[in-house]
Amino acid sequence: MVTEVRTNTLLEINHLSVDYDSTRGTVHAVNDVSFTIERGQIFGLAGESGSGKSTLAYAIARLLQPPAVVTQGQVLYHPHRAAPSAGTLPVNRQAKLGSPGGSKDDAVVDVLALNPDQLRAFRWRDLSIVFQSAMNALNPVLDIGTQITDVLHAHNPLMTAARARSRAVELLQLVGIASDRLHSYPHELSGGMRQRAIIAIALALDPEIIIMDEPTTALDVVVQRDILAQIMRLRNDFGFSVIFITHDLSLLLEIADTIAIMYAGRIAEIGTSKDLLRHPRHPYTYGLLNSFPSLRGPQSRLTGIPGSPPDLRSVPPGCAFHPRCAFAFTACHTIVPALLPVTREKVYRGVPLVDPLSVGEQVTCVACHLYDAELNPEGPPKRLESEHVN
Amino acid sequence: MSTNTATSTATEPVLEAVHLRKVFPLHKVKPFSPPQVVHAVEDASLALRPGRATALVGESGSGKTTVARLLARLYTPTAGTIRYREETVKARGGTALRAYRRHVQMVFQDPFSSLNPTHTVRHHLSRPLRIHGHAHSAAEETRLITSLLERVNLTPAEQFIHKFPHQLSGGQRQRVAIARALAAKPSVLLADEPVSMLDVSIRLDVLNLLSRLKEEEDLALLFITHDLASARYFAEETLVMYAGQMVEGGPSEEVIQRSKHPYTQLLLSAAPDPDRFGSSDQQGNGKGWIQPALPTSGSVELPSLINPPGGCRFHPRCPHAMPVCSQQFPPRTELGGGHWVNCFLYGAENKTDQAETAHAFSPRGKASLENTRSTITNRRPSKEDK
Repeated sequence: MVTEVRTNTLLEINHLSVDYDSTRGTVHAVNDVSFTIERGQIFGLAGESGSGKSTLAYAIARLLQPPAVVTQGQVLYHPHRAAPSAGTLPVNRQAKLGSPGGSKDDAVVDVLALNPDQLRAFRWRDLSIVFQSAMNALNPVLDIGTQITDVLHAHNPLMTAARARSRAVELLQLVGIASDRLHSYPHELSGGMRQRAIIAIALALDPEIIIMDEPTTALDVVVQRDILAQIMRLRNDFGFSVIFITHDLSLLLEIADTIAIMYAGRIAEIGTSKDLLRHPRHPYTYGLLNSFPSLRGPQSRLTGIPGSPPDLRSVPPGCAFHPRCAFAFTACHTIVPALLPVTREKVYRGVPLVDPLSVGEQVTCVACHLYDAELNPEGPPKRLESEHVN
Repeated sequence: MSTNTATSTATEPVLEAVHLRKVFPLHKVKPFSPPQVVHAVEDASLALRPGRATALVGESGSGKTTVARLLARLYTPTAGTIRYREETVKARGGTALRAYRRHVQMVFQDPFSSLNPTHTVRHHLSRPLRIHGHAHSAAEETRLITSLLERVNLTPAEQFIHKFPHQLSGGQRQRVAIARALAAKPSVLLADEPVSMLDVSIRLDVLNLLSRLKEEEDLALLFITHDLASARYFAEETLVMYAGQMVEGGPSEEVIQRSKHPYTQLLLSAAPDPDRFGSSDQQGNGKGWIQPALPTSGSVELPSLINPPGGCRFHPRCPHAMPVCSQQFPPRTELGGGHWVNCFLYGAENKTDQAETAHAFSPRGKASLENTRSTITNRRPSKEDK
């Protein structure tokens, strides 16, 4: 299972934990999170605010500042591009001076151990990030052309000004902005265009992974759909992977290949979007799926999830979701459920969680005692096991 | 409390807006340039009935918040009339305005900024009680505040009464904001995107709360949203606004399942809808089918409201635009069952030559989306070729 997977693995997160130290106690924002991301995959990270999804993404990009501390875990990046599968290799790829750390192409890079120089090379060349608020992510006193060429020059000082400018135009066209907007300042652009400009900057060095932190949350539905379509098209052309963070599960179900649902710093459930939609396993996922009204089908009164998200300073013991869970039983109050692979027939117990997701198998993993044969011999309730009808 | 607890759906409207118009003057950039204005709301008419919710749907910049603020008399309309219980509201300030606000209350979008961080929940709720003369003693005030908190499911009330906004979660804050609006004992509640700032799992809770209050207290609710799905879930009636003009309206189910205006269809096709994915037969990574919602080659953004396009403001983006669309605003066409649309595609005078087009785009639920999408796929390459 493991060896075969490696060839296509791009990013591996192993037992990552992030704490925020404060005078009022330590906040475990990310708690023992493990997953892998394949090449070209759109990996969705969903959760409520405060569930740790942004902290996790920033930890991967090493953007965390004190008081945030990575207390354990690894972020492993596999720089080797298996095959230039989709689209053409952009010009910039050739100018790339090896992978960070000067390691060989197929070597694994431990992102958390990179020194500042290596980190600078790793960021943007291999991993770029699109921040939530396009308004704040762009520099208001520089035109967008300058901001794009800035990135190019910072990573490729030998690039001529003319070459950088033409690349900037090319990038703007990629995201659907007319080239005469090169000298526009952020305030002259609409929200959607600003977000596109940020995506253009993220694409500047043709990274392998783009982290998108709620890229469309502040936008209108029509613009949102347009930008998502653009991201999908670019993904198909360039073959990069996307870590897509959002609280909007309905959106994620449409675009993501794999979705991880986070709750109180832990992954509650991880699986393909199709599987998640059809067979939500974790009661929280089930609740989320029943939280948004539908445009079609019969009108029914939706219940949502009672209660409110936990205060991360005092996360309930055991499963953090148990105070809001309708199916909670004794074990949930004391034992923290591990994220275990689950099939519909049986529950694997004691499988070491090195690789929760593998390519062909697409195993859904869930952190819930309901699926633990020892703790809950009669199996999960029918309501959860039956196909989710939405 | 509303005394108009009428029985049928044909109740008299409590609050009515007739041809509201609002323009905001702009600062002059050049000293002798002609004055410029933002045409925020061009022609808005609506009626709010007790025990019923009306959803006002549109993108940001469509003027939906301005309509709510006009109704709350936070802005004075440039033209048009507002009628409260068949009386024209003329209040501009002072006691008259206060008396009006006693009946018409507003809940704002952002509970993080609509509550004063330096005041406790008690203070927030006691102000309207005192101002509108509902509480005459401290004991009565406490009793009323407790019952208000209980009505918005903030229980035990004693635990919340002395808290400051920063000690509350987003959902709890919005409940306090709703309780504050209820404290005046209004008959009309204007809710401006009450759930869009809240977490997904909390949204439904607040929506269900509003829905319960609507039924129990016979409130007339204006529910402003950009999400058609929650409009369908929550409101009996839905109005769609685009760039200050009302383009379509009627019973929610009718408007959403049998949308007529191209803009409503566009909104529907753009809304995230997992059902579409779930019901499609795409396997594995077949996500390439995600298409932009917009079948036009024009801008995806709202037009400038300073120099809005003439006629129907949607015509630059509309895939079915005709010459007449840029010349005049289409009259309202009644489609039966209270469903109406402002679009020449369905107008009587254009029926002869447009009948075919109208039929081709007269959608029926899912078919409409398929239709729109096929239009997109057809048009998309030509755009890229350029």
